[in-house]
Amino acid sequence: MVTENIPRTVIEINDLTAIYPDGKIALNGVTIDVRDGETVGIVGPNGAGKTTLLLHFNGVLSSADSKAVRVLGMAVTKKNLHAIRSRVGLVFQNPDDQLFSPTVFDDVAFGPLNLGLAPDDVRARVEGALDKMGMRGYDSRTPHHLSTGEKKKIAVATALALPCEILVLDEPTSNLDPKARRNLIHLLATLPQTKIIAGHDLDLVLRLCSRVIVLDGGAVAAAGAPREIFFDRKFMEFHHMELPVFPS
Amino acid sequence: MHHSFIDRYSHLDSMLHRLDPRTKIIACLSFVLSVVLTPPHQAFQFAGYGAVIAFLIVVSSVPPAYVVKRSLTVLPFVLVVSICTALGRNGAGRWMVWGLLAKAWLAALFVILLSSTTGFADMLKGLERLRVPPVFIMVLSFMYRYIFILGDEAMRMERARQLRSFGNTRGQIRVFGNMVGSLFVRAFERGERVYQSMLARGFDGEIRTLSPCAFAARDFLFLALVAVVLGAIKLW
Repeated sequence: MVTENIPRTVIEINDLTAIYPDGKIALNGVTIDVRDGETVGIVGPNGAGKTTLLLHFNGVLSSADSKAVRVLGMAVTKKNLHAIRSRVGLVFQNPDDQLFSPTVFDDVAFGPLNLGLAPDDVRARVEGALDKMGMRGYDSRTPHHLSTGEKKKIAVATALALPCEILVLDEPTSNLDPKARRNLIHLLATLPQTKIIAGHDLDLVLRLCSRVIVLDGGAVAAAGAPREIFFDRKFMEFHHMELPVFPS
Repeated sequence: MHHSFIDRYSHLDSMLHRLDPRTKIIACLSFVLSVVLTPPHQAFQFAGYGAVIAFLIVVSSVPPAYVVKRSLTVLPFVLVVSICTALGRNGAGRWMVWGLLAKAWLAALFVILLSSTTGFADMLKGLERLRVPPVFIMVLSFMYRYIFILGDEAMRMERARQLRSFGNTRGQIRVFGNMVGSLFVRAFERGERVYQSMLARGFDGEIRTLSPCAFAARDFLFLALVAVVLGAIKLW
């Protein structure tokens, strides 16, 4: 008998529909799944619904249909929110939204403290998370004094300080200069978590992601291997995307 | 925009900088309270407080000119208020104006010295350990974090307006109103996003923090000294 080791599904989205407060449809019947250990890219034009979709992954937004989203086998209900949020780290596009505390330490410690961990545990987690992002020694710095590259790395560290199994990143490389961008991509590649990366950086998706989901007009337009999708010139033009200049 | 506007010089290293923020907050409040409770004609006591603050400024290695210049900003306001209250009180009125001015100025000096020797983050930790309600601390910390971001945003909008107004001043008040409105909307939306990012990290309405403050021997010594000095001035 052949036993195949298929990783378990960690995120299941089933026919998810979401509506913006102004009545516009943000997501229209989205169905996707993400497996353990995968790195998945979500790409698509502005307003495609990428960020709205990401906010469903740890229950910041939730669907009226409780069966539409399952994270790590749990339905997104009030009862499960705490468990889901501690295991799914969400990194927002703008680090100034993510980093709201007077010091870097306070910000990275925010998640662990909300989990109710002991002070020594919190300190160890903060140090570990900063270390993983190459930001050791930044504890007492004020976010306002940091460069965008540094802020982005600290923002990822705020998620890593939680015992997170899934890392959700919204446009991690936007507004970064080439050096900071390369540095961040290298660091992301070293993280063992399941990663979901949304954005317009197709080169990053080519490098890190085994699978890509194209979102357009709130619906999944295609899903598959990045190489196959990105080199379909007609398809890319139809969905207003451009091929990376130097595909590696 | 200048981001170290509030706690400039707080990164210096001096005996005052090294004290626990709680010590400094308590000392500052005691001085301010004691200054406020001094009758206006006790010139010697005022001189005493002046000597104390002058000594502390020298010890703190914060440039004295900076502290004095900043403290002067309170005077016009106090002057207006004190003249209004003193009107129609002949002789007593003069004492009143002098008393209010001296008290306000001395109090401002103490507070400015406090904020110049204590980083804002440490100040918040100190206030928190002194049992100021967490909601106030949170509001202050958000203010400190976002006031400059908001200021930058306003500056960029103003620049964009100037670029396209070609010196035309007609109708600019309306444009200005729109700018204030859109700045408010942007701030509101940022608030939403910040709240989402807090929720994403398990925020449930309860504010939890780690306070690394610790009282050392020098803190007790300093507070004891403050008590002795205050007592001496009062009994003069």
